[in-house]
Parts: sequence; structure tokens; C-alpha cells
Amino acid sequence: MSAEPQPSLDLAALTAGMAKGDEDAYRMFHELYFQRLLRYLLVVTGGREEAAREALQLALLRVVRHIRKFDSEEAFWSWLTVLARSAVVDEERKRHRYLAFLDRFFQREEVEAVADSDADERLNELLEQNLDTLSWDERELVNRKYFARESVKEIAADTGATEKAIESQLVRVRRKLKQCILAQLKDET
Amino acid sequence: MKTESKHRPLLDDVLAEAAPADFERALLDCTLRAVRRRRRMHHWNRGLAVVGVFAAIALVVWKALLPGTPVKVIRPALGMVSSRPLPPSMIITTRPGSVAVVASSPKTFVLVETGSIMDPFKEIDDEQLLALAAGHPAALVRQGPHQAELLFLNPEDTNGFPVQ
Repeated sequence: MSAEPQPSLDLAALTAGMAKGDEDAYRMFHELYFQRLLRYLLVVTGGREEAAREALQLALLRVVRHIRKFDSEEAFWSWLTVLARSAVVDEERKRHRYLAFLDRFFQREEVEAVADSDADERLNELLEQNLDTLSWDERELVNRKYFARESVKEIAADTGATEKAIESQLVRVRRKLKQCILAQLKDET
Repeated sequence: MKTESKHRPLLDDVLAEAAPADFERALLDCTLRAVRRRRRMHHWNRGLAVVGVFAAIALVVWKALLPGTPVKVIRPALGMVSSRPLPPSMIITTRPGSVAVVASSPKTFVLVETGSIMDPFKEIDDEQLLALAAGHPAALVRQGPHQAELLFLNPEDTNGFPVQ
């Protein structure tokens, strides 16, 4: 996965603060990396939300336990992905205790294979593919909200619908997109 | 990358449902609890280390200042064994020089070997006897039927001479 640019972030200070046990540093880390790690784990776990959430929780606890100062964002992200992948493997092993031996091989192979690809890139590809499958109305709504950056109020005024109705439509479209993306990730694994 | 950044808000919103807000908050709380626990552990460990160092220093100082402090050493119980000397009648003593030692060496004796000889003597008659004394004037005088004496005319011959 390519490193996300964080121009204003002093990573060395952030990680040093975390290493000292500074709670504000952890809040900032959470804000910056929670979604990114979750996206990564969704790809690693093949779109299994529950497994991704459990692995994320375990990975964050391991961050607390093993955090040290990092000077480079790339190195830090690489370290985080290692923790995330090992958390997935351990969670899977725990889940299938009776098949732990087989698990070790299969999960390792699977996780290592995902680790080499760019998770965010894959998610974007799937998003683009699934945007093309939306109906014209849904596509138009997404374009106005996310690419034209119109507010819900503006869209509602323009279409003559209520804001609540627009919000509901957006929720449905997002849910549809999420289900399609996760299903495709599951199919891949 | 351009597509990625364009899609990022949508992607975030789409996947946000995978981690609802309450889950995110709960996870942050869980993380912060772990941070606090770890911090407490660190403080506790540091405190223990300081106490340990102080205890070690105090022990060293105490030992240095009170070197003569009697230390009661508990020894394991001993089994007493008593003994007494034997009576003189039961003691065998030896002294030097009471036994004569005979030393021998190979040079002090001559080894004589004997063997069985079937016929150690050879019997000769009068002619053979006189033949042995050839060159030395001698006479055989018979004194009886089984008695005779060989007389040499030269007195030196009585001391012996080589026989050929």
C-alpha cells in the first residue's frame, strides 16, 4: 500500500509521544490511521467485516505494546501492516483452533499475498467498477454529492425532495456499494 | 493517485459502515485503557526498580557499617564418635636389623653345570699308556697281578706334560 501523504504530521513526535504513553498522541494516531487500517484489513481479510474489526482491535493493542519512535511514515505504515497481518493470522487461528496447523499455512499464504498488493488501490478499483453498475439516478446522486461536492441541502432543493429522502438514498447507495465491494473481495479469496 | 484521492471521501463513507461510529469510539477507549494500563505498569516497574536499588544500597551500607555483627550460623547436628588406644599386647612392632640379610651377586659364584655322561672313563692297556708318554723316558713296574706303577726317569715329567 502506498503511504498516504501527511504533510503537516510530525511522525517522529507522534510516535515518540505514543511511546511515552501520551493519550493525545494516541487520539491523533487513531484519527489518522483508524480508517486506513480498517480499509487495509478489509482487503486482507477478503471483505469479512467482523474479522477485520477483530484484527483491527488486536492490532491496535499491539501498537500500544510495541510502539517505538519512527522517523519515516513509510516505515511506520509498513510496521502497522505487519502488526495488522499478524493480528489477522492470530485471530483466524483462534477462530479455527482445531485446524490451527492447516490455518497457519493457508492464512499465511493468503495474508502474504495480500500484503504485496496495494490494498487502497484495489479498493478504488472495486469502487470504480461498482460505480459503473449503479443506476443512472444513483450514479447522478453520488456524482453530485462526492465529486461535485454539493451539499445534501442543495441536491434536495434542486430535485424537489426532502433532505431526509436524499440522505436515505445516499445511505442505500453506499450500503449497496459496500456490499458489492466486500462480496468481490470475498470472491477473490 | 488522482483517482484515489477523488474517490477517497466516497470510499471512506462506504466503508465507514464496516466500522460504525460507536465501534470506532469503543476501540479508541479500549486503546486508551491499554495505554493507561501500560503507563501504570511502567511506573510500577520503575518504582520497583528504584526500591530495589535503594534496598541494595541500604544492604551494602548496613554490611559496611556493621562488619562485626555476629551472624549465627546454624550448623547441622554432629554425631560424636569416641575412641581409646589399644592395649600393648595387641600391637605388633618391628625393628630394623633383626633379620640378617644375605646379599648375593652373580660374580661371587661359578655356575657348574652337570650332565649325564654314559662312559666317562676310557680304559687303555699298557702299550697305549706308554704310547701316551712317548718322548718321555718312563718305565712300567708291575708289583703284583693287578698292581703296576708308571715311573718317569726325568723328575720334571712327574709334574705333568701335554699328551698328544
